[in-house]
Amino acid sequence: MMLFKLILASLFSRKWMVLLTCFSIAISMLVLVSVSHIELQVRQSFERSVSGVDLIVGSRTSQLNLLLFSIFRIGYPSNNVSWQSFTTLASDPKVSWAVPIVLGDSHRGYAVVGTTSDYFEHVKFAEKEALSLNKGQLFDHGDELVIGASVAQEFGYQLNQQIILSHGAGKVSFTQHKDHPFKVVGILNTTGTPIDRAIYIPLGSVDKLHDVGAHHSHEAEEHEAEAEPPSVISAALFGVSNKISLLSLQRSISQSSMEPLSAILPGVALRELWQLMSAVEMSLRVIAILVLVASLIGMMTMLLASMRERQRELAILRALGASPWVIVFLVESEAFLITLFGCITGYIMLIIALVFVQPYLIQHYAFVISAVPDPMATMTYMGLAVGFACLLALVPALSSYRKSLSGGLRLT
Amino acid sequence: MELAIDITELKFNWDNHSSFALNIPTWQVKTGQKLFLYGQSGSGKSTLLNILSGVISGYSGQLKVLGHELNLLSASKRDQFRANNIGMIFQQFNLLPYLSGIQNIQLGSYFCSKDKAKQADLLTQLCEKLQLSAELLGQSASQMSVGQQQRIALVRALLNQPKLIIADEPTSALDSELRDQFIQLLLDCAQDSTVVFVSHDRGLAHHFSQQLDLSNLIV
Repeated sequence: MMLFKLILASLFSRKWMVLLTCFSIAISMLVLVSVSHIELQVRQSFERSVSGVDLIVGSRTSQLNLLLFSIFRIGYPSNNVSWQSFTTLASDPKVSWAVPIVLGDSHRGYAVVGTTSDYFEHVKFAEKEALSLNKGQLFDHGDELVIGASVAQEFGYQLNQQIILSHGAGKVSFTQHKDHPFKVVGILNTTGTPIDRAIYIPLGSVDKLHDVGAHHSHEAEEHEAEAEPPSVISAALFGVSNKISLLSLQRSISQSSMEPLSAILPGVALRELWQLMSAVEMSLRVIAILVLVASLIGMMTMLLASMRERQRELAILRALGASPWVIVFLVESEAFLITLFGCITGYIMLIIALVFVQPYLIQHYAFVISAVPDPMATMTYMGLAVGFACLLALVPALSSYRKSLSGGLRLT
Repeated sequence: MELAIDITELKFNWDNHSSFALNIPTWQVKTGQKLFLYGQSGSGKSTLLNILSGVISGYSGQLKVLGHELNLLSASKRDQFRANNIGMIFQQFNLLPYLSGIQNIQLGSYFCSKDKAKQADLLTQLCEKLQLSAELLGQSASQMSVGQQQRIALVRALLNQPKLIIADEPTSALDSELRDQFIQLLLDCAQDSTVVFVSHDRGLAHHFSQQLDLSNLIV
């Protein structure tokens, strides 16, 4: 107890140096834990976005591109799939459901997805949870649309509000589809996936948007939403009745004689994405570890610098009957406490930072991140940091121990 | 009469390369003696005191302190022996600067395995005698004057009721007035102990019943 008091008093007497060292360890811990935490959360977030979809079909392209633009609205389709091909594929007996999607329009930066009402029935999120409406109903007519939770939240859109869509994907578009306003009829519940960040219009309305002037009549708009199929779609999401037939279906679509098509399994495509990202993750992690090592070496420097005055303290303690090991114990304890305190501070800083960015990430990136990093992983990092710190602290501790044995008490 | 220190043919070398060597053919200090040991710096007094207190070992010959052959004790036994039986006071820097006066005193009894209850009474007596107020004891050692620090160190050394007190120039950082006062206090409080007081200042010798020149001791 006395020695513990002694250690605390000794640390307190050098409080600025100790605090700065703690802080630098805290920051490196924050970087290290956040890299692995965010990596894990990104994976989970991506994985919860592709649920229920067995196969994604698009015009021939890389599987990553198809996955990213069809599910995550990142990038653009390089080519379209003809409606003809889609209906042929959808009629395959192995296919239990098929949902076409058409991309290309946007509304104030949010993607507009032309699709059928089947989309809301078959596309799932997280652990196969179905989409649900927060307010209103699904679209029924050509001038109605359903919006995702983030869109509703950001612009404060209510039911029955009129919305003008624009051509292209940017936030600022020069082509506004002013002559074809839409009415909000439904708002989806939050899913924490890119589904929240889109606007859904009936498939038939997409062509109409671009079909300015031609056959423009009010009667046409009164038609059922899916009455008039588009000539092309961007991609299609498929579900199969029997998972065993999945691979053969994939192969037959990829080798289709109708047009060059790609069919991908979302899980496999995601794995390719992780492989691609793992190099980035690894370099981030290496940097984080190097930062941690640098701050621990900084701590060792601080301890070494204090050894001169400690030599005097050691002489006092030795004269009072302390074993020479007491200096090793003191230095090690200091390193231990500084590192532990730094690590815990870093962990708390990270949680606070995550709590602050959480709503922003959900709103703007539909990225659900947990505010509490995995305690097990964090403990592992903390353990490693503390262990390494104690190892480094052996340098000043043992050199002082050796000196005290060979040199006796040196007070000045 | 029992001997507090009993040396025969003591030889010590810091290491094989060093030219310095300590060589004492014979030296005895009787129990209860108050000895003034005169020695200039570089005369080997620090080495001798380190050996006497058991901080360093590796000498040849015979050295008995309070009847114990130090070479025969293990390192941890020697540390324990020192904590229980020897009180040491240095020239200066006797205290850990970041601890309060009372904490510094407690640190001394922490390593000593003697009855703590008895020490509490003794502490009150000593503080009274040495005019150490509770206020001063609560102060951080770094804020104290050297005189105050030396008195705290004296209390700490005496509190364990050591049989042997080794004082290594404890007054050299003090004014001449405080110097005599300090030595009087030391001798006053340490009546039951053997005292070895080392100094290069011959002017202090008159306080002690015995005096010895270190250069006569060492060959």
